[in-house]
Amino acid sequence: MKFTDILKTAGVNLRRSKSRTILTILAIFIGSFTITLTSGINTGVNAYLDKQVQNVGAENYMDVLPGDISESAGGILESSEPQEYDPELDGASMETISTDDVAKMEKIDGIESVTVYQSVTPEYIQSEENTKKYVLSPQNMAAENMKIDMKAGRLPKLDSSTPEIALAPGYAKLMGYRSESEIVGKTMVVAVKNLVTGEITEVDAKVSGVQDVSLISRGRSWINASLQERLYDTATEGLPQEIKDRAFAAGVTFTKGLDADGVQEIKDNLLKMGLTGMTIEDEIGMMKTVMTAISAVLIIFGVIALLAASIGIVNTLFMSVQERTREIGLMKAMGLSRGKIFAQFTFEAIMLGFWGSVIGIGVAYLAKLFVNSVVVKAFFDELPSFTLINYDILTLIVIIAVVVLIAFLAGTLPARSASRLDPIDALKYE
Amino acid sequence: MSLIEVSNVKKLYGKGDSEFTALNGVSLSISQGESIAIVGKSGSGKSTLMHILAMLDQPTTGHIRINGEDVTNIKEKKVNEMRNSLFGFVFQQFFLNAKDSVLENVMLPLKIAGVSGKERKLLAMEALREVELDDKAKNKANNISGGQKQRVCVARALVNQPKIIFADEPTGNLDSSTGTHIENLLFDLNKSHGITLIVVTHDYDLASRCDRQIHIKDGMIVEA
Ligand SMILES: Nc1ncnc2c1ncn2[C@@H]1O[C@H](COP(=O)(O)OP(=O)(O)OP(=O)(O)O)[C@@H](O)[C@H]1O
Ligand SMILES: [Mg+2]
Repeated sequence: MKFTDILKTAGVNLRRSKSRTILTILAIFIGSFTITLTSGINTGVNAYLDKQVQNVGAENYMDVLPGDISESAGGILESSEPQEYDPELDGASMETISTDDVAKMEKIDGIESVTVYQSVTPEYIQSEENTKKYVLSPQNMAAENMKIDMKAGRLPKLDSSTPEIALAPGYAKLMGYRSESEIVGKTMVVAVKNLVTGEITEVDAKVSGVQDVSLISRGRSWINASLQERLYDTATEGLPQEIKDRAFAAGVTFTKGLDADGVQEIKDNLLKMGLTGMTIEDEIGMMKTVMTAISAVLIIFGVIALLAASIGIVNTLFMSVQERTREIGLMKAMGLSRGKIFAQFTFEAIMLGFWGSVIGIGVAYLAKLFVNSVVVKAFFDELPSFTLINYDILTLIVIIAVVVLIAFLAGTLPARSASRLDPIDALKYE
Repeated sequence: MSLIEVSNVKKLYGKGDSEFTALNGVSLSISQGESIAIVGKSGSGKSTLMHILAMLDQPTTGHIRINGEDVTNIKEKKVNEMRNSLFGFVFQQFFLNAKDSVLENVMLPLKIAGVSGKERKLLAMEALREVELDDKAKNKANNISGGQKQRVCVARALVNQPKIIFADEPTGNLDSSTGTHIENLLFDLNKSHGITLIVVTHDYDLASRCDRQIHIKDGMIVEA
């Protein structure tokens, strides 16, 4: 029997029992669809996150947080027993960064400058031309070379003596300006409450620009050191210097072009001081890890669906062998070899797997078109250049190959029993 | 030289207590162009002998030679090739694929042989003309009468131009006049194409039309 005839016969047999074939393909379709869609979302989101790393830039910058984050995360799972007090590990100050720490950090090889972040939450921001007051949660400018998409203007100048602020999108409209660019250059008042007296004081700030929204820095307004200092000083006036100097976090810039080993060395040194250094890549890496974990779970569901589907293939083909026992016996009597009967049945399985996965991928592709145009518009519209689902050809080919392989393996069981049929017994079969 | 030669063939079924001797030392020789009837009571071992002659089954002991070549222990691939090119089969229960057309059923041995689609069709139509059913070529095999079905089977048996046609009770499911039609067809093939005919039958009329009758009783050849 020729190869093409084996293929054709397999195809004809599948078409003969249409409903059975369709149901089996449907089961495979569900599995492949789930896997394709999940990996598409994973690819899409990860690609976006990668782009964000490039966008934010500041590749020679890292956040420094007090304490060993990995340890404290582990601590949740560890003993909840009361610990003995150790004066070396001074309890409360562990949660902050002191001037001492800053001095030590500056001595670490590779670290060029250290900026401390002292927590200050303004009461409100108000335009000089409008009576309405709005809540503001500002973010300290970390490094000069941050690449944040701006809708208008620019980021605040880090070292400028003028207190500057880049506003999150939305404020301009709320404050009655016609466009984002109209607010640039205007002076706002930012109000803080003094921690000792509770008195509210207003500080002037110049709007340097309005930023675009991104997943990473969504809704943040950026302020420069000058504004930060003024706000902080106003808020902490009257507090002892010791407390004033405490920072909740710090930012470090290190030598440009430092390789991964060098960065790791800095992190190790910080860890020895009880501090955790995190680059933007690390932070995005954590988001990616979460994303990948979610995808992994969904893909496992898809694989389970595929395994169930492969039992469907086994079942379908066993039924087919049963129905065609006499035909198989006859063909064997006429000299058809075991190998070709085996091939005929495994081809049926392969075709089921192939069509199931191709349809799954096809529908996943339609889903992509729909989701990316409708859903992303509706929910992620403020994130330009964000595509939730993205397929890459190689993954799709791998999915088809794996599904076909699973189908083939499932098909070998019934194919083997068909190929081993004894023609005499098969022809006696009623 | 004889076409098929069987020497001292025994066939045992089962083991131990349930062991059963279906053939008990059968020897026979068949020449090219002969027509042979294998006759005997039900359960005497006729079909068993035919299956061994047709290389569908292996004897427990003994040897078979086809064209002088000992085929008792040859490779499966070779057995398949020989069955495909040398033999044609006609069965009592027809064994047509009901969902396929008459033409497709007749083409099946050629398809197995790897003959190309075009040639397959030509040869199958020729075989159908021989049994006068070329006008039914497109019909579903299920939608023709019993006699016509058996004629399709004869066409299928002769389409690969075999040396031997094996027929196990070819008229068993037919009334006497259609049965006679099938018999005539088979003997025509035997006479005009020189195809050796090996027929298993209960029907003594059919048996008597053959050149030679082999009587089987309890797995052995006996004199009539
Ligand atoms: N696979 C088998 N296992 C056990 N016994 C078998 C098997 N096949 C056949 N037999 C036995 O061998 C004997 C011969 O069987 P065979 O089919 O050759 O008879 P037959 O002469 O063709 O009979 P009939 O005219 O009824 O077709 C019978 O007694 C049968 O029960
Ligand atoms: Mg019989």
